[in-house]
Amino acid sequence: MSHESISAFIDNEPFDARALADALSTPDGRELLIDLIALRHVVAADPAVESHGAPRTTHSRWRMLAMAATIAGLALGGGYVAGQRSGAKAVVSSIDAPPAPTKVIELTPGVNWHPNQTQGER
Amino acid sequence: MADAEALFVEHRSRLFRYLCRAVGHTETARDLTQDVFVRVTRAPVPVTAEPEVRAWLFSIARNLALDHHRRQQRAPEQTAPESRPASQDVVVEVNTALAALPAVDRDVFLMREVAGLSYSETATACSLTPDAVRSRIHRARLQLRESLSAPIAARRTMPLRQIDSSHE
Repeated sequence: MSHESISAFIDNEPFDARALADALSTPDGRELLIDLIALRHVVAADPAVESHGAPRTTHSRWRMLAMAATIAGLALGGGYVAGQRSGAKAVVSSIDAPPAPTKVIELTPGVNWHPNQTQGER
Repeated sequence: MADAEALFVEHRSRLFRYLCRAVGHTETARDLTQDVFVRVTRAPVPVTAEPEVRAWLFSIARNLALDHHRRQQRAPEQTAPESRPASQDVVVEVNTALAALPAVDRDVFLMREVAGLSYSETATACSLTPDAVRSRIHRARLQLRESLSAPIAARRTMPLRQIDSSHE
């Protein structure tokens, strides 16, 4: 019963001074006081600090890297396939039809077009 | 009257630490801490002094932890065990020792030791009297002293200082 005063003392709660004095007058009581403070340190080495992010950060980092690699791979693969398809279309279209004209030049015989005299004489 | 949301922000670190020890799993504790926030933003805030509001916050956290334990008992093995390096063996040892405590003793001990609540606040959060809290905390300490004798002995070889989590 008197040892409860040791708990109250280390918790900064009201305690019976006489009971605490009695408790600390014995080696057992003094050992208990030191053990309870050591226990507090042991429990205070808390998971909140130790695992507040360490394992998660490592996992997140790998997850982020994996996601980035996947996105990059998809982008490269998609780009390659798209390029292949559009390139093939371009080749086919160049065979089937001429490109659309971008400029029209009108030639009028005798004005701005003259037959090759040399070829005509042959 | 303190704004409950601001109070949550102020105490979320303590809530998280309490929940880490109460459920023994960091990711679950993170989720439950968020759940406390959700409850706080939805529930009517008790119009009272800050210590009572703080006790109210931890009573929400405690209920969420109890719900989690009930779910675990119905469907165990749903929470993946966390892989920890050997240096965190003590963390596992502490969690195991805490899990062996009676639920109420564990809660009052954690609220005092990890969250820094006073006996009075802990009593309010757990619907107990301050005297009952005093006895239960001491009883929990005696049991933990036995079950954690090795890490306590190791810690005693290092310099100690009086630490008080209520003044963080």
